[in-house]
Amino acid sequence: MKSVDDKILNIIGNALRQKPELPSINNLLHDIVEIFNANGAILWEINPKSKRLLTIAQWFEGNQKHVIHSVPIEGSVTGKAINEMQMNYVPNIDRNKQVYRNASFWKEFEIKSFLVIPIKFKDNNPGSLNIYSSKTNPFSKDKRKQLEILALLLPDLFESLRDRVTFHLITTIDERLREAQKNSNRSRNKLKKIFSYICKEIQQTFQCFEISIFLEDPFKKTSEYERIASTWNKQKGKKSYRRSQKAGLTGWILYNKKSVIIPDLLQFSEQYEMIQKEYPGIRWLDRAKIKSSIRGALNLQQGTETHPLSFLGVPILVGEKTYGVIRCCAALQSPYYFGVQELKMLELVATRIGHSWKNWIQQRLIDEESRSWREVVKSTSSLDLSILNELESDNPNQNSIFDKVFVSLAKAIPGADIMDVRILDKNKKELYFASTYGDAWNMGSKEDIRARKERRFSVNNQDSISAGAKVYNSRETLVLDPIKRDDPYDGTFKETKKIIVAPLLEGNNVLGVLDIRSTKKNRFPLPARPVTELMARQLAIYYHLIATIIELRNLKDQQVQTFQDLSHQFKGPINQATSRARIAIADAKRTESEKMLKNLYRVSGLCNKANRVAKNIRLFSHLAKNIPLQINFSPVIASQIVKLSIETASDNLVMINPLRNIRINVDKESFNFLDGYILELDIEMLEQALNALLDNATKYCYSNSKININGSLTRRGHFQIIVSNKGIPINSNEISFCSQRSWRGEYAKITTGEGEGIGLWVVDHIMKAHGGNLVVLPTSQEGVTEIKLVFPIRKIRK
Amino acid sequence: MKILIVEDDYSQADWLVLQITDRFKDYSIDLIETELEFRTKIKTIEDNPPELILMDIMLRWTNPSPEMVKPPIDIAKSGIFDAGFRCQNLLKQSEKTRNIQIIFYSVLDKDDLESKLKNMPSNVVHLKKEANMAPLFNQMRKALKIRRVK
Repeated sequence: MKSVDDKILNIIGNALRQKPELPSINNLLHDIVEIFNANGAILWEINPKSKRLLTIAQWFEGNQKHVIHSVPIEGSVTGKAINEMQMNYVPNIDRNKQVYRNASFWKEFEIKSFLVIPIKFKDNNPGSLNIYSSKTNPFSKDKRKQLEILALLLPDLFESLRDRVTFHLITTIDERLREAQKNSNRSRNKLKKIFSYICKEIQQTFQCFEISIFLEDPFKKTSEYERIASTWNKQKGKKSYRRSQKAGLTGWILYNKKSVIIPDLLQFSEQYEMIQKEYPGIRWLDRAKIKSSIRGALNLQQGTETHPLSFLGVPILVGEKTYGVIRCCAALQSPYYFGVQELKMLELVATRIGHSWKNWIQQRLIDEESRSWREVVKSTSSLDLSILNELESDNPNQNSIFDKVFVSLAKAIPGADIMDVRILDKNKKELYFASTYGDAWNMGSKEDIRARKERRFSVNNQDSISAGAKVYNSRETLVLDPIKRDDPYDGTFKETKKIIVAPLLEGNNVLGVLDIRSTKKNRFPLPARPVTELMARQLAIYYHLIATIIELRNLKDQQVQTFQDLSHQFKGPINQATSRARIAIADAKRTESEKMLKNLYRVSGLCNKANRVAKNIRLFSHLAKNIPLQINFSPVIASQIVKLSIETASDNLVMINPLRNIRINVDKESFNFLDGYILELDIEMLEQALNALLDNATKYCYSNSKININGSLTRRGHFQIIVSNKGIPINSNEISFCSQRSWRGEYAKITTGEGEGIGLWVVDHIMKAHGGNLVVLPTSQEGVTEIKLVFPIRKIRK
Repeated sequence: MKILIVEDDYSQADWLVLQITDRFKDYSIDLIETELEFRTKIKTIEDNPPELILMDIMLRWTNPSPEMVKPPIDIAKSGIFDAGFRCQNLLKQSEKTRNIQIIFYSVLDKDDLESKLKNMPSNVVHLKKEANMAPLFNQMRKALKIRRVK
């Protein structure tokens, strides 16, 4: 007896040393069969839903892998023993009429007797260990006792194996995913390889036929879940699914965000009601022909039973978002039936895949965004150079910049394949195509092409379904992604799937619109809208700038010097912005993001300065021709003015030497008295005026000093913005000259570098056009110079 | 070995110092921001002349401060447009600084400066500021090579 006890200990020891794969439980049964001189053993578990006993593990002489898979509980000796939780010994099956004889294995293995020992699995689900022998009455009382003890240990040994399997699987997968993350592996193909490896790892663990991972790739197609990795033949099976109750088991899981476990798909029709009760509306038609695939894979002869097609499917979720599904089908050796434990294991894997995929998408989005912005910075600089070339050419041409913008946008916004600029025909109040980009424009006959390009869009008709007309009137960018049936798109190109239309805003004027279309199904990348808006704004400023310069060239000689000065002022920041942008792009490629960021801030400051000068050129051109400034009043609240002041301060600060230690303080609280009031003023003009005042203040203030911006009411109840600082003094006898063109104070001349001296002159005109005043106070005894923008009371309302 | 940059626009000066330091690692870089500063330091420049001077043309006289020194009348009259040339003139007057390589680096075109650039000695060249800095670096390398040969 002692030797048998030793062997039992050996069985336990072996069980704990098994490979971390579910089929290892079969080896445990093999050891039991061998020790007790039996011929086979089966571990059964009851499926309470189907009321059948399912094979968890089995071992028969000759290492037979699939012998019997399920029997009904009712009417079987095993079922009865389990129900009564009483060991049942059948020493001779020929003498027991209750033995379930439908299975062929009795004959095949010449079974004469068997012993049923009821057990309880960890989740309290009943089952049994059955030992089969080809001899009659082979198990003595002692042996039966020993087997009973062993059977008691079996559920724990099985659980311990499952735990080890789970731990092994999860750690292996984690290791792979971590490795992928550590290498910041952003290639989709490399990630696909990792997922294929994960599939193989699960296949090995479950010894199953198919493991497939379906994921939604927003960079390819949204709402479609593509097979990213699978152990199944690539040619077979469905390659993608949609979220739909009707799209098979996988579609159902995606739609309901719920895991599915079906013990045997072959019993799908028989157990239809039971399955529907748990998973309402689920369908399985074996369109992918998995049954025949498995038979082929196992080389099963005709007439032999197909073993169970157990199915597990788990949604890949992160929070509420469904990223995909992982499914597992048909174990090729026992345990044939996937249970709740296997489902939990797969859910753990799904969670990890979900996070990894989400990270990859986010990383791709960041990359995509950085790439888009890099392209924008690059194209802004190339656009700037084109402007300089046009400025210097004998016959400047406004349309020359469009093509460059299109090429840049095509690089910055993946999928942007049909573009155009529509400019307003002021006389007819219609938008017409001034420039186009993309092969689609030149498709069809000559007449088609001409008709397409000569289309016009009225901006007067408020009910127009033209996206361009809508954007022209609202001055707001319109994004239709994807274009839906009711959207305001009249379809110059029917194949367009999405469109961004941005206004070409120059000051308060809308010159036209920039259209970006895509025929691709995936969504526009995140930065597409701001990139389009930015390019549209740059395009508008420069388009108008060239037009202004063409006009200025025709002006009298007296204006020429000022114009040249302005041009020089314009070239400086543009040249430098371009040069810095190039270096910033090079830095970005070396991923020195902090350095790049610093550089990009400076690029932004320089572009802002260039735009300011460009605006001054525009205003100068109006005033030189004695055209009054056009002010577009709009309602403005205090917080907008504070925000504008802070932004303007920051743009100006970035341009001065930090060693001068100049600070700009916006006294936010001083604007509080405006709470509840609405001012009416031209915010763009205010920005230009504030910029001019701060440009002067930073130029003329002393080192280690502070520039203050605050708001207040005058004695007459007018609203005023005051910019004050300690710096070069303005004498009282100079006050009346301050707002004259090209005038500079006695001390200011000493410290001024290049510049045209028209800042305060323009500000004075801006204030007059508002019905207000520019007030310059002589420097006080304390050395403080104050400049005020005074707005009339009538422009303030509650 | 030293390169002197004379540039009054902080943003440009900062950029030039950064880029030149990066490319001409054997040289130390000095920066002068105003014409007055140049005049004040002329003795130091004579005592320890740089290999090369990168000179802006439109230079302000001085930075704002409560104790600002006013410029002489002739300078006040001709203004900032000749500042770089005046600095070069000072260098010309001393044996020690006469032959320093000078690059006038300005947004102004050669055509705008034709009369002033006429009859300049061979150690002085003009280069227009542009976005691409490669021509500047090439010109600097050329100038420094000439200096070394001499």
